[in-house]
Amino acid sequence: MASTTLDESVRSPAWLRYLRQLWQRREFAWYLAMGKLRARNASTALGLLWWVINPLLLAGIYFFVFGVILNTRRGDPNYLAYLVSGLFVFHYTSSSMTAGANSILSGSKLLVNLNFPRLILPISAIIEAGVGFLVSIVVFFALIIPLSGSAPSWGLLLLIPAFLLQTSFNVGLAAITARLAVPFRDIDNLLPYLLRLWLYLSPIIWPISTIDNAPAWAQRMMLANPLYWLLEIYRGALLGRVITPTAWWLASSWAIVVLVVGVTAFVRREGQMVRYL
Amino acid sequence: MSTPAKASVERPVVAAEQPDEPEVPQVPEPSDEPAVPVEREPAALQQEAPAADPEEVAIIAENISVRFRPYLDRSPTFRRSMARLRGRQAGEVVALDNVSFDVKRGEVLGVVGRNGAGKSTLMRVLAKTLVPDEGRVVVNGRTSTLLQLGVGFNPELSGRRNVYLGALASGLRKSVVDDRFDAIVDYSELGDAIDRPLKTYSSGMTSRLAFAIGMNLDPDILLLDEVLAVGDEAFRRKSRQTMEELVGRSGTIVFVSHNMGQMASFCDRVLWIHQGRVRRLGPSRRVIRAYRDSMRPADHRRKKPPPVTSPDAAEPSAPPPEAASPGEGEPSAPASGGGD
Repeated sequence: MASTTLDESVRSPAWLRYLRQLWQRREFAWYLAMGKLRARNASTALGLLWWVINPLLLAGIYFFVFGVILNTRRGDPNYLAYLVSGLFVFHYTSSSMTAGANSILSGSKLLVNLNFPRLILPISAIIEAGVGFLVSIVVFFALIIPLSGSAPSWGLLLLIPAFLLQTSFNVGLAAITARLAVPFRDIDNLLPYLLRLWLYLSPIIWPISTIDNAPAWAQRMMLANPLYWLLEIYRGALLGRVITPTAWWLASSWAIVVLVVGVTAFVRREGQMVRYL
Repeated sequence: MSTPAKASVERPVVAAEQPDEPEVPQVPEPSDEPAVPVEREPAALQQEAPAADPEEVAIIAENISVRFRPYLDRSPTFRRSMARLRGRQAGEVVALDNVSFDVKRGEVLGVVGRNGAGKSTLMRVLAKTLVPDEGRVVVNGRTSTLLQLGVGFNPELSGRRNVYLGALASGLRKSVVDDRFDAIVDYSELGDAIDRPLKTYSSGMTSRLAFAIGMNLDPDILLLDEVLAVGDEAFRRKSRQTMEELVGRSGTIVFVSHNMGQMASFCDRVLWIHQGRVRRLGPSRRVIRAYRDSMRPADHRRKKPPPVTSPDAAEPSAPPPEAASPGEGEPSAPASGGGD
């Protein structure tokens, strides 16, 4: 209800003012995300666990088809952990994009009535997805690590920067899908196919060593995939694999560029969003 | 806003500017409705001279134009940019066309007009949820907005959680909402129903809750769009009293209603929007009388029913019930839709 007047707002640059308004509404973003999580918990028997069940079911299928029948694992004893960690990480990004695309349309009543920074809506979608992802990481430790026989180490602390990088990457992506989904509702239909494609093109199901046999152009294409680098960092943290410096700075660059581009594209059009609701 | 600031005299002015094209929007010929004689006010009357002291003005709307492009906005980018190159786009719907007015502190401005005249679009522009294509809005104070379509934010959640959603979205801190929560529920008279999902509420209950939230945000300016039409008699009296208190401490109200009796008794001035333009702006009774006259079908004025085959027989739509009983106090039928 209240549109606000900000003190000293006249002097500060617009983007700083915007950030300040965002920060002011942080409790709103959190409340919105928790409300959705609670609604889901109330309406489904397994609630938050679906966040884990979904990628685990996929992992079971992929493990059977690719690990057992096609034997792409190439004798990797850790293939299950490799597969599940990849799917969990991918699920965080894919559900961020889907939830981002829905965030504006599902918040339409708030948008029509109240003047607040619209970026709150995709951000609260990310909070919701991020909480689910953290739950899935806990499950990963409880289930997969014992199964695969690898021991946790200090390397796990690298999960924190990995999570921050992926979250900022996801905020940018969610802002882009939210921005596009308002005038083009077709995004809702298109997104699942794009995400399926991205899943297959990322080193999730196939072991990363497979890429050595691929033609050079295909290798270059794989390396242009930001998830390739994020996954390298996550697997370094979770499975104790090597993380190259290239992975760090490419993943960081992707995270920052996507965040800035996505948020800018979103904010520039946010005054027009009500027109489409 | 994190602090429950009372209505204060010194408030910074925040302007929502749309710098796009400074060109004066064209005013098309008002020739499209033969049944309604077009009586344009002199320009000087439409754009009231701004009050000398800027502190005395709550809202300034300058040359606001809003156009919707329902078809082009959905078509591929390439075609859209080609259309842009060619200048003015085809298939545009002009919702507001060069609308200017201002509202002083302590004033109640009513907005009337037919369905689809642009009233709701105007309210959204004032609420700053919609940035106009051209023109500028200055809102001088804290605004509470109760627009028809937005009453109740998430029907699946309880009334309680909707209170929090609305108040937090408005910028209140959670601790402040905690403090005011009981006052909001008391005012809404919802009692235990506050913990039921909003979808189980009647429309009257929903608007009571929305009004209770809105008034507990300490607004200086209240924007109402047909919200109170559904409240019962007792609540309408109570909300009316609250609004009068707001005006008493130099708060400002802009409200859209199809209830002409309420309009005439409560508003200082009335703005009549017709097809996106300001048709008249002036003392409430005079504008309302003119508005009602215009709504009377042509045959009433001519005292002779037009032949059925005549082209203007199809033009004027049926008069709303109020038109038949001018000056009547509270015609209870709330006409449908804010129209946008």
